[in-house]
Amino acid sequence: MISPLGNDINNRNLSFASSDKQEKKLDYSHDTLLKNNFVTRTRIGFDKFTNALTIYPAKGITGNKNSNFYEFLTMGTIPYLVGSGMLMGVFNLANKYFSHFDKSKADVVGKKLALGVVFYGLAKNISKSFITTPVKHITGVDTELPYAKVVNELPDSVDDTDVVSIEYHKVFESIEFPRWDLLYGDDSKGEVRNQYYDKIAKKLGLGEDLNDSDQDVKPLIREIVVKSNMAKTISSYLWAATAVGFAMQKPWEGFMDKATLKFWKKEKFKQTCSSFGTAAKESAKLFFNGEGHGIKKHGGKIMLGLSALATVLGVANVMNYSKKPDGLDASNVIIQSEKYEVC
Amino acid sequence: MNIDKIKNSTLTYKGFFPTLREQPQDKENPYALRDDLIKPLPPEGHLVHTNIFNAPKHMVDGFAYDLKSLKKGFNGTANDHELGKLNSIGMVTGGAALATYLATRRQTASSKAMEFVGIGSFLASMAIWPAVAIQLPTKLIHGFNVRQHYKDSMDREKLFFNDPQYIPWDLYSEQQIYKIGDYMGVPKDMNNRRDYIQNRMKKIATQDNTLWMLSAGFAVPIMSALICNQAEQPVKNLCGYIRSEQNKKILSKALEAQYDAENSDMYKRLDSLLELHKGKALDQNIVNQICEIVSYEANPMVDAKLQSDLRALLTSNKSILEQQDGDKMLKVLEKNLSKKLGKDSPVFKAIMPNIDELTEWLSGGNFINRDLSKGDFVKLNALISNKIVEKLETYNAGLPESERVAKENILMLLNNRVNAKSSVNRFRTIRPAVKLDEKLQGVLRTLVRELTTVDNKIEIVKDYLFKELSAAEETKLANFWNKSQEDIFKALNIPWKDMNKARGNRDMMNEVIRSSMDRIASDKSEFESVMGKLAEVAKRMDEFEGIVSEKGNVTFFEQTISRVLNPTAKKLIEMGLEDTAEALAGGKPNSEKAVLKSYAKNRLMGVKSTLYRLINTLDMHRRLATMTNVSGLLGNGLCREVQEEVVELSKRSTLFAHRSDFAVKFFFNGNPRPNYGDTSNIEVRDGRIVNKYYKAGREGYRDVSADSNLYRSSMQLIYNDSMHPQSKKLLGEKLAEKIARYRQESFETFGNEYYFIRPNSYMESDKVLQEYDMKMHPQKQRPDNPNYIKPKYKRVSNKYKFLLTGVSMDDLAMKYATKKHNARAWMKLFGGLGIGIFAITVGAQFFFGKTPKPKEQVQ
Repeated sequence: MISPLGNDINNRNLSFASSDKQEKKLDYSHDTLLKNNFVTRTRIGFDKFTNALTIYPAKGITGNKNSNFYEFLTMGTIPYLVGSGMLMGVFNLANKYFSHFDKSKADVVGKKLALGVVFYGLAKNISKSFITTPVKHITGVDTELPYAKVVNELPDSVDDTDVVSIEYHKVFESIEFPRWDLLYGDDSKGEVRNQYYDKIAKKLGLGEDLNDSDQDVKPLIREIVVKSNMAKTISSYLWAATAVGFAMQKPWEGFMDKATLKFWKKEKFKQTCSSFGTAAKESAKLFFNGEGHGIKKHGGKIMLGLSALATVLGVANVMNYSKKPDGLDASNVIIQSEKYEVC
Repeated sequence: MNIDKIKNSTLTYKGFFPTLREQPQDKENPYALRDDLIKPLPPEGHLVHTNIFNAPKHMVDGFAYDLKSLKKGFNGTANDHELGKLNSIGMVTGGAALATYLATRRQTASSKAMEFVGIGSFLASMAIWPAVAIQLPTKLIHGFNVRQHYKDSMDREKLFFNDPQYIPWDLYSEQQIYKIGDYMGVPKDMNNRRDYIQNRMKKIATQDNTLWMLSAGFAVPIMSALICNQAEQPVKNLCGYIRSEQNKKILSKALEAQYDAENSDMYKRLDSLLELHKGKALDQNIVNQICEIVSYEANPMVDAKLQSDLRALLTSNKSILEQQDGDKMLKVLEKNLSKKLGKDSPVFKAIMPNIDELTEWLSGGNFINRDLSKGDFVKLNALISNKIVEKLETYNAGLPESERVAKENILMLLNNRVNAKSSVNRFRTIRPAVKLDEKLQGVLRTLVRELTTVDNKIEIVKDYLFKELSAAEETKLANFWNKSQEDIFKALNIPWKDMNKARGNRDMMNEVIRSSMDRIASDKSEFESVMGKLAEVAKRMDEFEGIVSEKGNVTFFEQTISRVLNPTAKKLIEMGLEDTAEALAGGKPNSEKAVLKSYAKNRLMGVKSTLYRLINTLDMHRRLATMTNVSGLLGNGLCREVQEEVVELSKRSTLFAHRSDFAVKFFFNGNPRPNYGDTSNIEVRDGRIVNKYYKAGREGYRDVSADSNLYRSSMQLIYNDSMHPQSKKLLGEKLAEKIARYRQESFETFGNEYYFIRPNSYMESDKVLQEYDMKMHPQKQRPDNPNYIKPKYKRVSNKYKFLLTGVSMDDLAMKYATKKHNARAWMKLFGGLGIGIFAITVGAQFFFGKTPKPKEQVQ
């Protein structure tokens, strides 16, 4: 179906033909590389979070023709958050219907499990930086580098002029189609075209003043991104599991009994903060030292060791990149006998 | 699609097909594919259809693909699709690691297993929810699979509607699309019908995918919890079955087990000690070391006996002196005499014997190489003193009187300890009579072998007992009881509404149970149904017959204990360790054998008493409802008011007497001055007792603890009157016999008034009691009443009475109701929520896919 574009095509903020008037209203007029810093990450996170809860579900549930895979993936935040809350609820909400004795018993277990859910989410997200940060420092490749993508949508009606939306992606989010183009310098601004690739080539030990640093570096970056993504994925689940194990320790019971999130009750909230540290310390000790004997005693150490090992091995594997020049690689060939390359 | 189709296609593509600017080579067919150019590979994408036949292969292929993705991810060559698969692998790996860790913190097999079920159910729910709540309804409502999978030309399996901006529609044939259109009711004559249907499908898919994201967060945790809820009992049953099968082999293992006792720590330590001291006389130090090594830590009672037996074996009242002990004796003498005299003094030199002299004295007195008793050492001491005094006298003879040394002074030095006993012991301790010879070494080694072996075997027996009967979760007995409890309340069919209301209030629960019992007892068919079901539950106790036999037969378990302990006990007796043997396998109540047996018996007795008590209670209610076999009530010449009190007491006792009530009197308030004039029989109407006088809580009632006749009549009614014929028939011969034994035992134990009078107020002799009763109730006909049977006076331990009482019905009901209430409260909340979310999710799909028809069509 061909949708009518209307008469105001010139007013559209298309990257190839955008007017100044529209550009002022939008943060970006074309796909723009962003700095990976705390402010940007927070802004992107907030933007995606609010969109995931408002615009995208509204578009998706009405079957809007502009709904896309990015929006679908961004909406993945909803089951993550709702599911976490629900999981906490499953362990706690029914307790109030129990007898006093049963309630007190169920509360202890329920609160610990709720804490486990929180720790799971925190550990899973934080632990990703255990891989990406060292990889960035050692190789210079920031696998999390964000960019803003300007998306031109089809108008919903003849009068619809709001047809541009911004999506936040990562340059290396697709291995097959990384946004190499955003990493080239702008000649018009006096930048060296291969400045990014030169820097990476130097960092990776390929030398300086390379003729085609981009061609030399691209396969290596691809390899680094794949390896770090794998390490990040596997290790983050192990760290999350370790965090749940940590939350299951007995010292948390005392803390959960007295803890409050009501920050306006200053004294109680202050006590909560201080007792959190004590409970965390005691729980960490207990988790590491264990109780009893055998696997029961060493289970915590094993979990922690496994997570740390996955992280260290993951980073080490990233470091072990193949320093091959660009060219036909076995993995790029579909039919070995034919030697056609997939670009 | 094959290459011919591409060749014949009307599509053009620069480089592969001639363009309008190029001069076509073939004017007849200007859009024909040029053969001299590189051609694209033929597409091999296709829809994936999974069914129960190819699902296993599909799963295996998927798993293989995941592993391949992992490998490629590790090598850095994975593509986007393969990297996506790593998320599932990470999730499963993390989940498995977490479940394993949490399982290590659980005690029982099923709770460990449930950790894995928990993680598994969560992952499964993530897959099941969209399939059940979205895929299936959409298929039914709109006629197509919204979660259709396809494989692209690179053999990568993906969701067809994953990305609404990229849907490979060419994988659907015209016919397939039109068929879906027909299902949707799209007019067959519509222009661009395929486009319209596809747009509609796309819209529905987009809506469904959004709905999936919106609903999964609510649904998956609930679904997972519901799965766990439902899986818990089957997992418990499975674990119980596995455990039970394993347990069957444990006792045989105990009998057959061979132990390499010589490799045990105890044996090795003893061996090195024996090597060090072999052939030596055993002094106190060595004895202590041996006793410290040889022990039986598993049972302190046995160990205490072992220590005392061992010390007796290793020590003796007697001592022995050998030729070489002369030197030691001289040192003792030298120490005693030189202390005051000095080694260089002439008198010391004169009286101190040399080794030859001493040997001659000892030989002459026949003290060498024979066991010497304490008396012998007194003589030895005297001999040496005399000989030294003789030498002193010889020395003094050559000196002027003023320079002579007094005999008393030397004797004092010789016996320099204050008491004579010490002076005797100074030689006695030189060489104890027991030597660590080959024989004793052999005995000690055998002893350690036996103790190690029996200890290991007993551990197996204890392990068996623990898994079968211990007061822990998921033992065979616990599983049996959990199931029985459920069956009991199902059989009693007490309205849940009433039970739930009364679950926190004992008085209310008592009322609920009493009315249920009366209801069941008053109706023949209901009584038969309930009694039949209770009998079935009680009969299941037979599965414990191999451990403890109610008839007193020797069970396989008891045989095993004997076969494990008796050979060791026999060897211990041969070694002279009789007390240890007795402590291990003797008949005394605190022997290892008796403790093992009584543990099993006691654990089963509590459960058995509870079940039999319930059956007996229901039977008594039935007897009262039909006034059958109630001589305890009607045969003791009680006036009607007391009859009513007897009924009340009997019902309360059987239903609500607690495990602690045996120690104090079961409290009962009655009328101290009943209407003796009304000697009519108690009235029963429609199977229910109609009280004329008795009314609970009536003013003026007080404790009638001194009225032994009331209690005796009640006990007679409860335990001694024959069971109802209907009950006997329903129970069957074997169970009826068992319950008869239980009733007899209870009658003898509880039936005596001794147990039913408060402390300090009971009367020990029947005579006093009789006088009191006769004074209070002169019209009573006891004990010469022919129906009256005096229970045997049986003094048993409080523990025994505790076990015989069993659990009261109100305790049972309150615990059961509380547990069930919690489960139902949870289920009501989350089951309702789950159903609500499911309904909304499914319901919403009826409104999906509303797509305006092309204008021409509308017109």
